[in-house]
Amino acid sequence: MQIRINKKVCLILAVLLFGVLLLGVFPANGALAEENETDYSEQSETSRQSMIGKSSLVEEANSRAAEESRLAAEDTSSGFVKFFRNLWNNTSNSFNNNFINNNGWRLLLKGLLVTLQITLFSAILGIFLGFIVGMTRSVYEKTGRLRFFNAISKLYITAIRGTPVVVQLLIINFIIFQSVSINKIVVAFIAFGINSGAYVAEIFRSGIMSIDNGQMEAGRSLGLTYGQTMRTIIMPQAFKNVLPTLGNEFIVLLKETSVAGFIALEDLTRAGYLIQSRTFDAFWPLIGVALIYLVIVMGLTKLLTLLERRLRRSDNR
Amino acid sequence: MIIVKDLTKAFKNDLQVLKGINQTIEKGEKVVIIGPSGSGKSTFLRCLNILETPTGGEIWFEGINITDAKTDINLLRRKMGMVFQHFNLFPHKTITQNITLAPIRLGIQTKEQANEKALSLLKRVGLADKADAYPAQLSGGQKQRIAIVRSLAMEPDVMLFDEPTSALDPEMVGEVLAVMRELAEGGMTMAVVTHEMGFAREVGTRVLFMDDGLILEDASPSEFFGNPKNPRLKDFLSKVL
Repeated sequence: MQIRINKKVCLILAVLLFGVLLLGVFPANGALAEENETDYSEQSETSRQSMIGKSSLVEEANSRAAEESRLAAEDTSSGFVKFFRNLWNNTSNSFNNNFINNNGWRLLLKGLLVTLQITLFSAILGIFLGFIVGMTRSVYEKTGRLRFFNAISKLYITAIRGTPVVVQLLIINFIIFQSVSINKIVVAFIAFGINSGAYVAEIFRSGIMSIDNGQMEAGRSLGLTYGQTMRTIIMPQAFKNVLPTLGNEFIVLLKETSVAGFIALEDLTRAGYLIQSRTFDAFWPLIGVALIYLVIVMGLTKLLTLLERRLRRSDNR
Repeated sequence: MIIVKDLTKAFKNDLQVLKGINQTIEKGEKVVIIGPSGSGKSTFLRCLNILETPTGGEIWFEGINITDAKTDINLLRRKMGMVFQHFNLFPHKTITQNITLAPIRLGIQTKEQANEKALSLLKRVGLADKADAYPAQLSGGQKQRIAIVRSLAMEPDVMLFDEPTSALDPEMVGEVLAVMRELAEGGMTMAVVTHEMGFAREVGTRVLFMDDGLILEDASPSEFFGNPKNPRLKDFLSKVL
């Protein structure tokens, strides 16, 4: 089967996705703050409930085990079949306990949405920052102009690449936005965006530097300005060259957002952790979270491959 | 058409490449520049359209001082085509797009006009069937012919050639020289840096010999090859001919 990427379809999908995620963050601003408060009380409520639920669950499990052992005594089937029946019962019970009862799936879904929101917005911020910083750096390296801005850019890249993202996230949350009441998702995407920007800047710079000087000379010799040559000749080629690296950066970014729990954001990882703390079962919540990340990353990889193939058309011989 | 006065060029590491060049190129002339490598001949050519910024002296093109900082060099470059040793085609664009990019971008021609012009130029160099190919699909000789066409699409008054055949396989040199020869017959003003002595002798109206940043000999081809005066040139010709 051949999948064709239509420009229009892509654009519409992107706009829709963007819109949905945007709606998730902003109009809910006020509501979300309220929700947050109620969330806390709800949380303590649910934790209390889960304690109660736990005891009732234990009772239930006990009675079920008793039932099963009675059934097992009557069961005449072979040990082999029994083993698999038990395995199936145990896993499906555990699955139900973690995801279906307690509304675990809802928690995961909410967490997934938060993770996607943070990733998308910080990717956009990262590209924006990275583009400006990367351009500044490469213009300086090629022509010697923008010396002052180059120094600032270098400082930014050094500082961001030299410190862990968790520390940056905590600094932005607890120092910079210390006295400002602001949506945690916004804090997170600013932190991750600033972090990603430094890496994207170096990716863009290396892409631009990888294009032969002759391309700029050819463009200029035809009468195009520096900017026109940059836009129509250098940038498209540089973008094509860095696309795999850039894609990799966003995959890393998606996974890095899993530390958003540090500022009390209920992202996907945090959701798995919360379920675990309610059911005292580590296996399903953590494996489930891992699988969700895996599926998203595989989807992203597929998308990137398609885009890359499209951009590589001019390499056909 | 081009007047060069006391042109000097030094690179950052204090390497003096051009040490005072005086030269006048008239309309319709085909000036061939010959010299050993490192003699500054490419730098001289690249100074003519300010791809290298001269450190001293003046260059006048069609009555305008192009070394003046106030001159819009982008406007003047439209009138000066340049062909490079390594072709420098745009690999992400088709052949037609390579040719029409600048005329359309700069608003000189509409897309239809530019496409039409590109096709007629491609026919002239025998590559009309490659209009929708990408540069990677062409041979070196074909690429260089496209590069010449790309410059011609801007309808320049002068064409600068920087060792156009040096990066080609020997059997492809002929096809590129043929295009240049046809261009010369059409009356184009040309400045050519090359190692092709045969081309210099047959097509050139004037041949310059450069060494160590200076023009040491400036003569008609018959004089230049038949009766060289400068001892350095005599030595050079005895080695290459």
